[in-house]
Amino acid sequence: MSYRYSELVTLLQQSQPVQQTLQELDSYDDPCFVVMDCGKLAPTDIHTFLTEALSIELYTSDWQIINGRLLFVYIDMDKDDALILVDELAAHLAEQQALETKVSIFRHNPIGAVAETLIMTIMQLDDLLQHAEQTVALNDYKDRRNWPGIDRHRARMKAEAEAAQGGIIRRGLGKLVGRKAAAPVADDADVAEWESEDASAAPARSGNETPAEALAWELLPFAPQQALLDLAPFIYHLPNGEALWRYVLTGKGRAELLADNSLLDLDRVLVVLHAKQHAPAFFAQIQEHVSRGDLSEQYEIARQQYFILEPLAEELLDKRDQAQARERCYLGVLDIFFHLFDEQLVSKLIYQQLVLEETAFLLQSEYDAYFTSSADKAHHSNSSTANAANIATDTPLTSSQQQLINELLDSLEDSAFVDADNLQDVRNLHGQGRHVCNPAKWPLTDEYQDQLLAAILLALDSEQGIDDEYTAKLAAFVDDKLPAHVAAELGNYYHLAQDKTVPESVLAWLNGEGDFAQVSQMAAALDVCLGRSSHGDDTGQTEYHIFGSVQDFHIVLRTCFWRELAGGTPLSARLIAIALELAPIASLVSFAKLYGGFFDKFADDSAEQAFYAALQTINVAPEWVFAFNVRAAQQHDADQYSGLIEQYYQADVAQQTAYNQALRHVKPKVYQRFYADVQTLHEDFVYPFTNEWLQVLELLNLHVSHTDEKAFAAHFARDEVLFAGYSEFCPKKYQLPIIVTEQTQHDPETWHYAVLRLDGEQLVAVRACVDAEREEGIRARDLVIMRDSVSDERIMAVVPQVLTRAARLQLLNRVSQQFINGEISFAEYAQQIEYQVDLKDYDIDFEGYDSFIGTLLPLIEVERDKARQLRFIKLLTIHPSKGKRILEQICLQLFLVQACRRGELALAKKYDVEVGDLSAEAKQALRALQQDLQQQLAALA
Amino acid sequence: MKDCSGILQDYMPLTFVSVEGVLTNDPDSGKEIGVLSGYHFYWQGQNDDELYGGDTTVAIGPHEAVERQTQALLLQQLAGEPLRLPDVSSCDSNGMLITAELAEKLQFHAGLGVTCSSTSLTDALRQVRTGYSLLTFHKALTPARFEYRFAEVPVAQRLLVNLRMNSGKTVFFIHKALQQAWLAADVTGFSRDIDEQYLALAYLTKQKFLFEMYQDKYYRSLQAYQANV
Repeated sequence: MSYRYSELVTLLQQSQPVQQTLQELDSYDDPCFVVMDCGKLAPTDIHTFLTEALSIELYTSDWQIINGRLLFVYIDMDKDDALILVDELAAHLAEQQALETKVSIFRHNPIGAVAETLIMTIMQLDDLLQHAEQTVALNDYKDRRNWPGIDRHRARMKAEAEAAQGGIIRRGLGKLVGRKAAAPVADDADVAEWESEDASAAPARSGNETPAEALAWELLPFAPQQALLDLAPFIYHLPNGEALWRYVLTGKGRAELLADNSLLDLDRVLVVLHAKQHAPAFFAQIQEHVSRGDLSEQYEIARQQYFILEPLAEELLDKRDQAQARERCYLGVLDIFFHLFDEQLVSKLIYQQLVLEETAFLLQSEYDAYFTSSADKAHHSNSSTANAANIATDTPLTSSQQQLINELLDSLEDSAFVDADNLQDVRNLHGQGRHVCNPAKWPLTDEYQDQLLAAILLALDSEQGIDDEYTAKLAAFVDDKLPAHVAAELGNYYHLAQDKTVPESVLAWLNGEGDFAQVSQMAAALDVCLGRSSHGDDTGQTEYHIFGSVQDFHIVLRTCFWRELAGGTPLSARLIAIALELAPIASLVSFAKLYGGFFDKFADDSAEQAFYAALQTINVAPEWVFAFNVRAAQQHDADQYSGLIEQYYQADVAQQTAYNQALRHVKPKVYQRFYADVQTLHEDFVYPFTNEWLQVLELLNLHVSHTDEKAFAAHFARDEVLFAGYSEFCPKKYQLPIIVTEQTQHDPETWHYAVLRLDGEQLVAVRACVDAEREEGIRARDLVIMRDSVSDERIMAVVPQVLTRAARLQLLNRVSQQFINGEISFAEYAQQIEYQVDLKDYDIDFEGYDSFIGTLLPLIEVERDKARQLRFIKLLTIHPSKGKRILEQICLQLFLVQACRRGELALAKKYDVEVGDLSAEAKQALRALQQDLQQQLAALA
Repeated sequence: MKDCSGILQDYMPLTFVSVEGVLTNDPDSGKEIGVLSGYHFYWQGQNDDELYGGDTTVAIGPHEAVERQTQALLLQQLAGEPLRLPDVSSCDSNGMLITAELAEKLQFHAGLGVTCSSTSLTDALRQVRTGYSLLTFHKALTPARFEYRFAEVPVAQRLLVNLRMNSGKTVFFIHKALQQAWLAADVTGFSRDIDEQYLALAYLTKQKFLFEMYQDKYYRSLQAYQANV
């Protein structure tokens, strides 16, 4: 008999040892919880298998056996170990014919609350118990390829919580299940569905409404829906609330509300407290969008206003019938919140919703009439200008203009996260009169962004054909400081190679001396001075520190870009030219930021067009624009991307060579994919770069190679080594006093790891860097702890066999190249790497991958020599269980390439399709391909 | 503030004195050891869920309590005397822990968005303390908004205010009248002197970080701390 879900919950929740074990964890710990129903197998048998027969070593909490049949443990393991555990345990259970044994493995961190992770682990076990054929289930968000998400469990918890409370908790879902703000959550489908259910619910009139609801039914020309009814008591209970509510419902009476200060005095009400007291459903809506710690900060609520009112906007802005009445109603609500929030409308999304987007129903002037603070209105009316259309140039800045400039300077200071919204804000500012273009009146920061703001305003002047005294003020403000800013950034210690300084000749050239045509020569002179990361290919893009995405240099470079759009100076033109010479794509990405939205995508079509027009102004070479486009289109625009592939393929040799040189400046994963895609569509195309695999292989070898203590430990049987690794991760049971004896072999060279042997309640140092001044008597970052049965002699015999890290890498690089080139057999390769690598680290992609070096999968895909392709695959699939998953991945990729070639699959889908998406026929063909490859791999001895 | 012409000219930033270290003699080794640090006086609401609206008693404690062994040592040295706590200090990001006696003398105009809650306070030595209130400043107004909306409000209703600078910084400001009253009453926990540069709103606005404005204080012994010398 298998357990029922409720029994499992009770047993685990009431188990004292389980609860004690869980107390060791907090929300940021990241182990996997494991709950097993051992079925007919003895828990001790499974324990023995997992601790002794598995190909990896597990670091676990104490194992807890409940009721003689259930097993609970948590395991600290990475994604790869978790998959190996699943595969090997499932194979073992199949071998034992123990299909009634079920194992649920669940990563804790995305949940964040220990009790909830336990419940979700049990839910997953419950699912397994309903399915006869599957024995092991894993829910690990770190493995995005196979992650089932947590939505289903969350929905079940929600339903159970609601059932337990005997009523409907319509909102406050995040609160109910303790959603962790920073944790990765599943796709939003569930939440969206939940919300749309709410939004579409049109409650019928019940006859026993509150006065606020009754008014809504009476005065609105459409049936009020839930979000508006949720808000009704909030507004109705405000001071003079009935009049305010009538204003919302009819759009009438605003003048009176302004005249008697009913709107202005709303700043005496605290939104969150008022909502809590009078409108619980709306309060729950606030709680959903404002993190708990920020509820007492009204500014945070104002910032989230768009999202808090989203259900209301859906009701009032997305419907066609009575559109005007609905819009008027929405505007009334926003008007009230504007005054509640001290006459601030801090959400740009609301501005866009009202004025710019599809939902827009206000002109800018109408928007200004509603959402200008009374202080600013008073300010304007006090200005003694005769010309209403052109605000007097000596007018001081209003408080909201000062605020806007403050916020803009704040935003423009951020190198990496500026976007088209910021540019729109500068446009808005520019439109507020010439007086805003006087930097002398700004709240200056004395940092680079002051000049960037001025340069953008200057470019807007140029765009609009304005050339007046304020244009001159802006130009002087930029040009006065720019030479010093350029010199400071180029001379910044952090941007330079050790002991290097920027040659005076380069600075002089930048400032206009000599011929512009010397740009390549100057770029070469600067190149040798600039600091760079240690990786990278000489033929590709150098990773300069100065072009790092968060470096302030980008603010200066962008200032030059906008200055150039306003006519430019020798300095702006030359800095742009030298930047394009050194790092063309990084420069273009930098320029594009203020036209962009999320993830380097252009904010909209007009932003994209404006950007390309700007590039023409600054004369960017077409091949660099091509490479930039490949990078962007690959992510965001399948049609444009296909066009670029054709453009490249049809180009003549000289043009293709130019494109290749430019593509070398985008990240390898981008150009590798591009070339693989060209070859997918045009089989005769030959990958243009040779020997790229050497560098990729070196990186792989770096990743798979053992650290010294692991290389040492690899020479012993697994049960002889109790622990090998970083001393801080040593299990508590082995954190014992270390004894240095006369027999301890002192080795001053290998201080980074020590070999210890367990001896009762202490650890005897067998070989270590002895240091009497340290409390523990030795210096060691890493430890190897041997079982007491391992003799000194055996340990000492192994020591000389352990290669240094450099020698190990040299060996791995040599033999892997020999194997790929077909100079040695696989057996020879495997023999050479024994003791040197962790087989489970062989992978296509891995954490810490250097983005300036490519990956093996596209190289395997484009490899035209089939024998060599097979050897690459053999190398990557070397691990007995994990290798099968990697082979599946490679086969799928090769299969999809074929499908694209046969016209059965669009190129854009080549990277999106999973095995589960395939038809039965396609799955069969994939299996055939996989079996064929498996046979070929098996034959490759 | 010296660069303001409106009501803000009568205000200055209110900065708290942060206790960064208290030493005492370790009876075992005879050496001086650090027993209290900033973490022991950095107040936090103990319940994340709580909304401080003045209608409930708020549980407050330090970021960290001292270790049990240190607690025993300090309680022994204090000999029944309670650990001295500052009369005013900051709590969480927008709160002020203040003696109930001082809090009772303050009034706040509703537009400032301040609530006053009774507290259930536990100090770093795990002793329950009474007589403290929590002022929560739910709003941080811009200086311009404060100038505009509060010029006509009686000073007595706006003696303390929380203002928003740029870069998300907020700063408490104290009216000179209250500052004088607190100085006269020897109220502890706030800085008596503040560098001249911080008396300019433009300077405060421009600074990315203001931690240098806040004063740290170290005490050579528990007795020195208790006597605040």
